[in-house]
Amino acid sequence: MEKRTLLTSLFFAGIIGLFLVFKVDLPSTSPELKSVSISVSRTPLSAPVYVADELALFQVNGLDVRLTEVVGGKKSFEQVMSGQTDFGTSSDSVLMFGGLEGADYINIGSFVQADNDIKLLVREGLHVSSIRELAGKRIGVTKGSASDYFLSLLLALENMQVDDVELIAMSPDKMLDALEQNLVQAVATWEPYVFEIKKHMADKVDVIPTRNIYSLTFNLITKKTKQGLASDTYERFLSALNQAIAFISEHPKQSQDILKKRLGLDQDFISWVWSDYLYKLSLNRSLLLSIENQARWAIDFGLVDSREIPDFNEYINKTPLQKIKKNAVSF
Amino acid sequence: MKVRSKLYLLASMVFGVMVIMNLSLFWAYYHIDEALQRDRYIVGVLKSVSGLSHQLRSVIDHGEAQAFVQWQQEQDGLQLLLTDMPDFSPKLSGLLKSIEQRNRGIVSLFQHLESQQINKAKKQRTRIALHLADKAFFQMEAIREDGFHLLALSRAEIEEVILVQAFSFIGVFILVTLMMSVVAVRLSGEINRSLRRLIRGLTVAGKGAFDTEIPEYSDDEIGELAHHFNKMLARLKTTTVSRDKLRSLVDDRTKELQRLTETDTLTGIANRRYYDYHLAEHIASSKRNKSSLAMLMIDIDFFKGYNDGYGHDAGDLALKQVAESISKILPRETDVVARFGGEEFVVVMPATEISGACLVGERIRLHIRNQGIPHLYSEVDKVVTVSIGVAAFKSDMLTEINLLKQADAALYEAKKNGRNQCVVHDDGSYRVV
Repeated sequence: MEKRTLLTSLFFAGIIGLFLVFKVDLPSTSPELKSVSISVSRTPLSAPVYVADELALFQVNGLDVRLTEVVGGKKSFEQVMSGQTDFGTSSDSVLMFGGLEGADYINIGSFVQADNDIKLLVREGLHVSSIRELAGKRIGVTKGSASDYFLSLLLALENMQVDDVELIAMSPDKMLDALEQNLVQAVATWEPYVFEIKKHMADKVDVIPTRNIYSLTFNLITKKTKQGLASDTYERFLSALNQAIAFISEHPKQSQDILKKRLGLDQDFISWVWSDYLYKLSLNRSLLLSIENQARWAIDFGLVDSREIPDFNEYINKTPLQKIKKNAVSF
Repeated sequence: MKVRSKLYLLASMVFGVMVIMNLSLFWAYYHIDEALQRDRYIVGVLKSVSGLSHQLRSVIDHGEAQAFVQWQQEQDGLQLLLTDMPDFSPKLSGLLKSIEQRNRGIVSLFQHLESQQINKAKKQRTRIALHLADKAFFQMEAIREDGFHLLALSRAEIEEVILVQAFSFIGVFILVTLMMSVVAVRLSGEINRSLRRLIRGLTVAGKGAFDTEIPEYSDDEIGELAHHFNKMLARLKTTTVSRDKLRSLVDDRTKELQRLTETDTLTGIANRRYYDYHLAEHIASSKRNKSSLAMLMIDIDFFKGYNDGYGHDAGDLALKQVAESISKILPRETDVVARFGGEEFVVVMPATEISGACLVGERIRLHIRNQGIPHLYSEVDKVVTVSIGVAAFKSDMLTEINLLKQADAALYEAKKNGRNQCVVHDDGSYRVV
């Protein structure tokens, strides 16, 4: 073999060797897609689910996911419990209420936290400068949800009881009409319904500053005794969410566009709320402590009839998330 | 490209590799140092959080006023850290924002705790205060979790940076080394081939083949060298031809000179010098071949009288005629006639028996007599005659002395018997042929 040919061959062999050293991943064949369904709450909190769906990350992870949009995490929880869907997205407060009722659910991961998602809106004209002035007023709230706990907390901080106000149970999508028709004088609800009410009613409604009072998380839940789901389905779903969260952190503008498109919202809203949401996948002891704390609160302040606090540790399955992202689990 | 340029190119490439390696090292150091700075920052945040947690415990469990102040100081320190964040990747900065958010929550809770008079004894605290205290603790716990998660990710990032830098360095090193090797081998190969061609050409030329032309493929210094060598070879070739001619001339001249020194100028036949030089060769040859050698001594009768009577010029002419006659009669080219001296001639006949020599001798005598060269001063005849002595020996008895001696003795007998005759020495006695 000529010396030149030998050297050229060695040169290209060296290049190939470098290629292998850097372990460039070659695409693998995609597995057969497993069909699952999820009830997703129509809120910016569900951004990782929307982004994963939009970018086909579920398919990449071998899942064919059917999305069913609902109003609120409580509705999502109910659909999972009734078997209508395989997965749901609910706040820690919903999980707390569900646990106190002995619901058959399992939490496999938190994917967002927010300290200013739930707000209190008050009709202008009430001249409410403090929470105390809400005594005797009718306040719209979604029972058994984060807004329920939030309102209770707000009142308690002003040394008020829930009985000091008149709670009117309603879903967030009904609150605008209720305020306009003066069926209620205030509402406690979450985004984007707060924004929609404010946008529609403009100066006729005030948002009471309540940032940092209540930091909630949104969680991926499924039925504990769910049959028919493959053992690795949880990992695949969490993997898709993990990739979606990475995309959100690296491409916020594109993620916002997806959210606007899926929720039918405008840039003003996104600009208003985006910094309030922190998307990260985790399953920490602090979540357990938070839910237990909320459960004690709910019992102590009469939000529920139950008197016993269950072992909320039993409602958590940390194994799937540990397989995806070991550092995200701190039990 | 000139050889010097090729060497400069190689040196430049080595220098370039060193520069690239150093730049890679600096780049690697810079990135690793950045990653370590971020790691130190996170450790600082965690330390601050740990301090805050301790103070919070003091506040909530003991309600000490001093603890409030210290907690606030710790909180101010943490706020300062969180507002002066170095650049983090989006993944890590998200966790820091989470810490910030939760810390804001704790600050808010703490304000409410203060309003709930947390500095009262624990059993006097309101339910709200107790719940808020719990809330503050799990928020603190959440901050700690975020902090450790952040630290783990930061350490993983540092490892990744180090690995990437290491692999990049190795990769660049291998790539550049491979490229340099290819270039170096190519350049050295060119130089080597040029030198080999030069060496081959010089080797051939060194063996005397000045017709060789060294190929002048390269336009570098070696090509120049080859060109000048070719010019030198051309000049050497010219010089060698002249020398060969000279040698040839010298050889010719030498042969001519030798011929002149061995030739009798008058008669044109060999002279005594030739006879003396070559007789030994004839004897040696006869011994080798085990053959006999014959000798004829021929003398012109009454030549002194001829010279005196007719003059030296006529005498010289007669000598020439006699020499010519002898040469004509000799049967073979190997037979040699030489002028022995004056009017005496000697004939040497290799591989000739006595009888053959006698025959030749008698024929010579008769031929010369029949030439009819007038010689009125001869007492034998009216024409020039010769007397001949013949001797022949076989190889085993042959010596230079006895051959000449016997031939001469036989000549003497011929003279004594009346001249104009051929006498042979045969087996110890003399007889007329």
